[in-house]
Amino acid sequence: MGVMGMLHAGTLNSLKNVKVVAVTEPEKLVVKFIQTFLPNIKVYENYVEMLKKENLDFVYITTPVKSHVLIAEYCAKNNIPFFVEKPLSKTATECEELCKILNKNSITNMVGFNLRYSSTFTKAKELLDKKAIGDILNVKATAYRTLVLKEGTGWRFKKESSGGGVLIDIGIHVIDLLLLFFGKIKNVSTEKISFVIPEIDDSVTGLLRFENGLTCIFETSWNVKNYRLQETTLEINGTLGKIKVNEDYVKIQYFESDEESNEEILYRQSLYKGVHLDIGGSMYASEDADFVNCLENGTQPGSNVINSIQVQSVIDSIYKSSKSNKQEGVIYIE
Amino acid sequence: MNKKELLLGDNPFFGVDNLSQERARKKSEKLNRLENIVEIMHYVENLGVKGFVVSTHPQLKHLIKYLKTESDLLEKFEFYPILPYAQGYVSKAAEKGIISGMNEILSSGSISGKLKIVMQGSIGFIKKDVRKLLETFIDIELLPLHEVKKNIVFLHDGLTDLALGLGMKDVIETFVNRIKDNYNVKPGLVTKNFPSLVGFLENCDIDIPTIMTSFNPIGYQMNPSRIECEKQILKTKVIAMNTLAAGYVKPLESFEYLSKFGLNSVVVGMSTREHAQETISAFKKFNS
Repeated sequence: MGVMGMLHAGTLNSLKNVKVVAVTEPEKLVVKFIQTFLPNIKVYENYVEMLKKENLDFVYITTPVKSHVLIAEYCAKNNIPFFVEKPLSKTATECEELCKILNKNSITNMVGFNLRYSSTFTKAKELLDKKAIGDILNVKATAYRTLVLKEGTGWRFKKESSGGGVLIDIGIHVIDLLLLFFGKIKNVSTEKISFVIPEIDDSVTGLLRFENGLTCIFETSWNVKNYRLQETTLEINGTLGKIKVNEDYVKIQYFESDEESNEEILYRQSLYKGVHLDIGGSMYASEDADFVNCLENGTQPGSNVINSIQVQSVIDSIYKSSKSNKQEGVIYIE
Repeated sequence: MNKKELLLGDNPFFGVDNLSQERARKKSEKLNRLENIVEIMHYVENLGVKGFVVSTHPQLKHLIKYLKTESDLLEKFEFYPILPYAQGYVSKAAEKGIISGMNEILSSGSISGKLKIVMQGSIGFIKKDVRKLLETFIDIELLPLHEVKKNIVFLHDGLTDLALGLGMKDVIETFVNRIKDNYNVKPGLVTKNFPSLVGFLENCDIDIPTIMTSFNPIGYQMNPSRIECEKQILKTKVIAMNTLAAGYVKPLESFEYLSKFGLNSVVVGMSTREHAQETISAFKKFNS
């Protein structure tokens, strides 16, 4: 189940018409925990057995990254709607078969880019769609979180399980937001990448060029001090003003003349809307409610597999550029 | 806790600022020196604040040691611990995996020299007795506070709300019983889902303990809505947290709103003398 599995299970279980009935968990102590405290939930050792025996309406995939695509393919082939935690996969090419299946069989599917449900980023998107700061000139995007810089023992610290380090862990949120806000990225140049643990990047800096001509300076790092929680920031400069947005606030500065400007800050407190059950953040409640809502209405969430493969393609290109030391074009899998 | 009290919260001392992380970093650099924390504690104690709400943050043991050797404040304050330090558990689980993370936490108990607790935990681990393990984690979290006066020990909202979502009545009962039986202290629950929790406890036939939950005039972190939270307020003893919506609301506005309800106490993180003075005088205006 993992931490994210428990969080989603609790959030989903409290939604109307949803009941968590079965989980897959290989770790015996966690199995014992579930059997002791959640006796009505069936525990299976592997997902195939669970999916064959249970008649499930949908599945949440919160396993280590290396198994995401395999389980998602099984669900897609068997018409079982699914949610999969981000990142969708270790690489975009891994998703080719999944992409083909979903293009033929459009079951409801979602990838867990929870920042799309943050009130501040939602507000920023609304302002950009209204052209509140005019035409966009350039963007700076960052994602930081302090992480203890020693070798961990979990799957996140093995490239064959996780797909990489900070870029695929938290930098991926920035890439998803950039694609959502500004459209496709054409090519990337990785300026700097560092590894504290072999093959697990802890800091990445680069330049992203969009198909519409926009450029974005991009940086993500675990190797920073005093970022207790993840902090994702977009600084967007337009012809009429600028927007700075992160998980805490949206700051809008309108240029009124060469010397004057008018500033407004909207904190998440003022944008807050109550949710059905908040466990570890209201974004997760909104995300899970949206998935169930889409399922009931037979629609696709914005953050679906097909869109998320594009995010994965950009990540692949950033890693490729870090090795080739040159600009790399982004090849999208459609 | 016989009358409405203002309690000091520890969040700003340990780099937590719910208004923005940017502000938290600036504060943290200035405020997390132990002498600064003690200075604020002295200041608010002189103005009548006698309760201190603390998370079981890794720095807590250093603060307790400092308070013990450098001041008389341990005698003057009653503590309201919130456990576990959820952020630490989540980070350890993410970094090392759930099982390795748990092992490391058990090892941290042995460093503190409480072999009996660790032995119990290890037996629980080997026998896969998860209730025993849960009790061991409670004991390890409370180790730094074994010499301080504890008024209520709270279960962190991360765990309370997870138990609520999944309907884990036994987790809440294990916590409540451990705190009552082993420490002879009142148990409490922190939640971001006050009405749902009250309903759940009623359905499970669990005596509703003191609940710490968000109450503020703008409805921040009041789920599913401010109105629904207000409707449930008389059903139990409530300590209001997030009262200033993390600095978004002024103390006067907040305490005027809170004065309409039968709350037991209010917790506010006060990080400077100026902020403490403003908060305490606003509190007294509506609670004298």
